[in-house]
Amino acid sequence: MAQKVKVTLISLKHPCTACLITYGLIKEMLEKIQKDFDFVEIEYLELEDLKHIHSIPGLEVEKFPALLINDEQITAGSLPMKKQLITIIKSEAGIYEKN
Amino acid sequence: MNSKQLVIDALLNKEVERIPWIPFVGCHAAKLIGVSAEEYFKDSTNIVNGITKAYEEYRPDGLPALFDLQVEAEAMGCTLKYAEMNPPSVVTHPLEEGVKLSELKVPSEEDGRFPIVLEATRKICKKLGDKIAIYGLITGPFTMALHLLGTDIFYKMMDDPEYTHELLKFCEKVCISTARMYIDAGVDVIAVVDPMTSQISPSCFSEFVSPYATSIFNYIRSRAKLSSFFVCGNAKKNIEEMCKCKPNNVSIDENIPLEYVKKICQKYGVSFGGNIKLTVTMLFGTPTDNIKDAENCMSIGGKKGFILSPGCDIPFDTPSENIKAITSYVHGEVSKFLESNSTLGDVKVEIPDYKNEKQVIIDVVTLDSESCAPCQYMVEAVKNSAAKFGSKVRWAEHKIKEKESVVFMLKMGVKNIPTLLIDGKIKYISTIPEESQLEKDIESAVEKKNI
Repeated sequence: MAQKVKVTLISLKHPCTACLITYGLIKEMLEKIQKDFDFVEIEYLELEDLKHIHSIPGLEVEKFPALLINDEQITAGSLPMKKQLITIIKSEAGIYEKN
Repeated sequence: MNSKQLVIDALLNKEVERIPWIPFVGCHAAKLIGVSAEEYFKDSTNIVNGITKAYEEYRPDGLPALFDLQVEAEAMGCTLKYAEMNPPSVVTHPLEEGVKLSELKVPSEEDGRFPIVLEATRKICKKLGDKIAIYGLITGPFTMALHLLGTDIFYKMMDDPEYTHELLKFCEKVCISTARMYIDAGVDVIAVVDPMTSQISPSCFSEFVSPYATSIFNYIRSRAKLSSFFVCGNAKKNIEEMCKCKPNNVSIDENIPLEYVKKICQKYGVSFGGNIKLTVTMLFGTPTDNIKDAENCMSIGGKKGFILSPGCDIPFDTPSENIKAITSYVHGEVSKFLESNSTLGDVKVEIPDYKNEKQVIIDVVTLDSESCAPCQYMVEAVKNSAAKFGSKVRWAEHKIKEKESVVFMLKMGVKNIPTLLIDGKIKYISTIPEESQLEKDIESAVEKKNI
């Protein structure tokens, strides 16, 4: 049985246009992944101030949107590939592909 | 020279007397006039009032008529989600939902919010167009393709390059049509804003973006207008490809070192702009942080072919004081700005009796030489030169982060930073002297005092 995987998407409360577009695309990607893998839990966080950065476990880089899987930062300010995310999520869930 | 001419000359890669300043005001203008972002983006009167207010408050040399990269997408059937304090975002992609590319139509003046946006642009150009450069911002072809298709485009580029080219060809037509509408409305500059190209490699850029972007810039040139290519995010790898598309200017954000962009752009004869930090400095920093960032950018950018601007559109809640601090630095009015923004009434500073002192006194007014590069170079020059004169010379750094230094600055009539004074007289403003020249200056002051 797959283990639960926590995915956290963090954005600034007041992002610029480019960050907003990237955020929207990652959010869509995560929602599609969640439809295929029901053990994925997604949390959306909005940072009001950079001072709060340390309140989020695993968040290390001040670039947004930031994506964490099980409290480990995967991307910051860039768009991940869906296949890359699925591979990480499966690995975290303990699902390994048979060769 | 008026502000508009400054921007035009900088875009044309000419030497200018003062570096032009363009704050990319988008939804922040809504805050300036006390409306929500949604009310702002949907109403031409609000857009005109917001931009007028930004012009009055921030004394820029240029402004975008509108910073909204969703206008074209909405007019082609993408659903937008509007927000109170942010630009709208695209939430559906027609091509992902089964609409065929052949069914999409190039938007005209009558579609979506174009009637509102163009009416506002015409009014802004009429009101401010003789004073400052007005930018018409269009969504770049790759970002537009992402709006229409969603993230599947990354797979299509590999699996179905033919379709990807068809899609980008269509986006090129939309870009040219939108550029035409803005040019007809009276703008001076077309900025092709393609932030999502930072997500692709130079080879993908060269194959899927360059042919279409080049064609868009050729069209803008054929209409005798100037152009800028905006990118956001870490697009360092693509700067050279962007230059090859032959825009007049490349504008970048904080993720790319300005020195690098300057070097590449100069190689291609393209002017460049950027890259004040939007989040750390403008949104969350202090006015002093903003002065420091502007100073660093301007010292790297120089007066030939450089435009000072933020990396992307200014966030809604950015404190106005931070933007005004940058304005004060650009116009050489830092002391006036600090005076009006500090409570200095009870701060007492004793000015040395320079004439009767038995030493030559050098004062350097800085932001902080530990964190501001030009300040550091000026302080180092003073330190090295003064050391050669032993006890005949003493020097001090006055960091304007401290109130006493602001009072000192005001009393000495120093207007900008870094400034070097010898025996109370201003000698160098924002220019780092050669050490040999500075030594001659000190020597002359030593001789004058007969010490």
